[in-house]
Amino acid sequence: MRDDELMATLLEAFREEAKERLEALYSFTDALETGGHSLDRIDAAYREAHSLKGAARAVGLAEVVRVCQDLESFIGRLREGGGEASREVVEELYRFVGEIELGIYGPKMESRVLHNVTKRDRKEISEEKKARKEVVSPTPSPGKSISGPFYEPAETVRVNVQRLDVLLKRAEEFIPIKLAYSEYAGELKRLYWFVEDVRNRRGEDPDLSYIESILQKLSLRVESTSRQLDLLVEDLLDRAKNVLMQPFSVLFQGMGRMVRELAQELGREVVFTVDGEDIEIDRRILEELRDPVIHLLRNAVDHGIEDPAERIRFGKDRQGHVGVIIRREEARKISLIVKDDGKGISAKKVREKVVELGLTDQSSLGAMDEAQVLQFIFYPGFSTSSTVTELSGRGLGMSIVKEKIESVGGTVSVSSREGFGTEFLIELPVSLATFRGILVKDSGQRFILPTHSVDAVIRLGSSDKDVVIGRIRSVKHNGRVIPVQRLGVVLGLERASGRDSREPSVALVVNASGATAAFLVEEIVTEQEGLIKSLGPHLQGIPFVWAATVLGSGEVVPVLTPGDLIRFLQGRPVATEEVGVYDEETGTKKRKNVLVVEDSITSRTLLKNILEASGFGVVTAVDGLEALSMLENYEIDLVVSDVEMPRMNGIELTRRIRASEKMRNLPVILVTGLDSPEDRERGLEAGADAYIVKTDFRQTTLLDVIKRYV
Amino acid sequence: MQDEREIEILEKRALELARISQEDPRRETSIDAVAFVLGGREFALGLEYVREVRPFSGVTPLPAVPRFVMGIAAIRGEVISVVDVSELLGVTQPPLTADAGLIVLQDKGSAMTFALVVNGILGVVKIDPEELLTLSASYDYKESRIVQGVTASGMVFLDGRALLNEPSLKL
Repeated sequence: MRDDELMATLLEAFREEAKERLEALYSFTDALETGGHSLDRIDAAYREAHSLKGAARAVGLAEVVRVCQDLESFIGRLREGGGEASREVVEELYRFVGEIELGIYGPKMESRVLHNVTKRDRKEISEEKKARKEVVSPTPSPGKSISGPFYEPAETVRVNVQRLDVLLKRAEEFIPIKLAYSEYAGELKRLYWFVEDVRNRRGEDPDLSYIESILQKLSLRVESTSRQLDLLVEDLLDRAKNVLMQPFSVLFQGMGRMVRELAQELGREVVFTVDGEDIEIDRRILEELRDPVIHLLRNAVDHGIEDPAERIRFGKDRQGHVGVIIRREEARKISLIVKDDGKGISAKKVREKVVELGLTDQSSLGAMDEAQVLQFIFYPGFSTSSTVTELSGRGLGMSIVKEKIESVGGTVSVSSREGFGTEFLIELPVSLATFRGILVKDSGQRFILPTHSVDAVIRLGSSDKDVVIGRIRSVKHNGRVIPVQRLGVVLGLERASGRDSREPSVALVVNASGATAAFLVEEIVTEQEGLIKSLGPHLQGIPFVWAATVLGSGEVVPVLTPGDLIRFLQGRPVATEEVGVYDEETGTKKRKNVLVVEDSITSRTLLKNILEASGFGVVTAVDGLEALSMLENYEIDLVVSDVEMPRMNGIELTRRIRASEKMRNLPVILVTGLDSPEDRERGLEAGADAYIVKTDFRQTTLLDVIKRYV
Repeated sequence: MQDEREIEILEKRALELARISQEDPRRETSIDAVAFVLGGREFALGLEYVREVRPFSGVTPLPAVPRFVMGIAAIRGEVISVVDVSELLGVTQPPLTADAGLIVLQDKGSAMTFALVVNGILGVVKIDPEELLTLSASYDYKESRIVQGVTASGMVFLDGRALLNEPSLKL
């Protein structure tokens, strides 16, 4: 199950849960309004707000988390004040709950409005509010209404983003027409040449001459119209794309807060700066950048910046610096730099890890310089962090960062000096460029592979000595041995056969996520330019195909995911992973069972789905007591538990497990919404093996951790 | 004389028709729906979740997907998944002919969208949900939320939203 698909399931569960909690909060406020308050009810409301906050955090709704936090504090103060609620307090409570509801379910009208416009609106609204609070007299000051128009240029108009998207899509539809037109112009020209040739051979013929002169005129006209169409379509596309540009400030809104809060949780001091956020980029690229940038910033704070005491010891400023610099490099290129002045990445450790994971052989590793070695951190499953209880596990995360950036046609690289800091350089196109791909045919079907992932095209002659390594057929390429397979076999269109004469001999050497493999195809048709079209909401997360493109002929061709092809050859699962222990005797895999202990249905669904998708058997319990009875009745291999739960919390559960003769060695991983360092320690003291903070946690981190213990 | 009688009759008819349409409760509760044929059975889908109906003009198959995903098609500059729901609806889809059509469904709430491939499009019909009959136990999909009921003429009325969010069609 992919992250976004999982997120959707999770959001669904969260919305259900939130509905109940919001209802409880509403009825609490209603009761308060009619004077029916009691400290018990206030406590109950406090718990509702707290639980809602935790659940919202699990699904990554930062804004809702923030409002819940405010609401929690507000109710806390209300309690301290003895629970006497004035009219203002009740109104404030309604406002809070309303805002949370809005944050979760969105406005009733499903329209997203261009952000820079909304931002201005929000500012206006908050100013209005302020004004309302400060000014007692309800008479509006005449000065304000006059000053208004000065801020709002008359040319601005609010437009629904979806409408603009439609405009761009329509403009894109002209591309195949344009291509077809230039094809017709070519055909017409060839026809004219042919007729000319016939006339020359047959001698003077008035009919042929007439046809020839008509054809000549027609072909010239069509050619010139085709050129005009070319220019117009290009211009139209450029302008349509331009309309969809948004400044980076949209992306970085709220990031400062995230960095600050994270630093606080970790007891670090961090100054966060963004430079160049006025620069504009295609909105669609901006959307894809969100996750990678959050990941890099989290990493910078979590793994980069040292504790204040440590920094002083190294002679650095007490405060760490995390900075983002956005620059326009060329007309169509933008660079985004994320850097910190923290401890940096140790190239030596990376080298050791590369050897440990067997990512490359010693000799080629020896030939690499530090800068090259560092790029291995983008390899799936790579992590230099020795503890697994980290907030933002590196490992798979960095490979996802790389994949996301590459999916919009960008590149990412890292440089670092140990002790001085780390810098990520992301280079991006200004707009989602027309995409270059290699059109191939195999097993009767046509596919496109992104050009940037194809290293070379090779021909496998019979003289080539294949080697078979661990049941995988391999060939030598540029001094390296790489796996090779027929594309149709990988895609399941063809049965794997031995080497027979019918097998094609042309192969594409494909490179993705740091690994290389070759794929045999019947035919390499052409390299060509096209527009990438998403497969839409229904086909998210299918293996092997990540998009489609429409050829000049109108034919729809799937664009393959190079990473999936390579992972398939490496024998890794493509869509879901199987986890289990190979049983020598029966020759089957024995499923590992995980007990998930969690009181929130949102988090429980999340964990259950992640684990089941990865091939684990999952048993659930809603609190520690139930968990203990489950442990008696089921054969459990690992426990994943929340900390805060009714009846028996996760820490007590861990203690009981550790104290039991039978379960002493059972791995326990705590997953929780609590963020302070003390709680981590409390968990580990009780005997937990690992601790993950569920602040926006990703399934990859969790799976990474779990796999270390089963 | 003949003309006058004719006019008289016509006026009378018009009056009757007007009365019927005023009294007809169907005007209040009935829903516009697209009627189509799939595997020899007639079905209908409320227009609320139908974005567009068009003739079927081929799909590009995808590798390694479940059988019900026929492939992808480009519709108005957008790539859309084409789904065969005959199995889900308990009918057998005969080979597609020139009559085959695509019904593009969209749920603006969940943003889910895909297209159904059907053997033929019958047109738009009016269906009164209150007059629907519940299904007899003989249908496989009796339990499903997808089927809202059967009209007196035997047309199976489907819930477009339930179909779009049907778990067994999720990938």
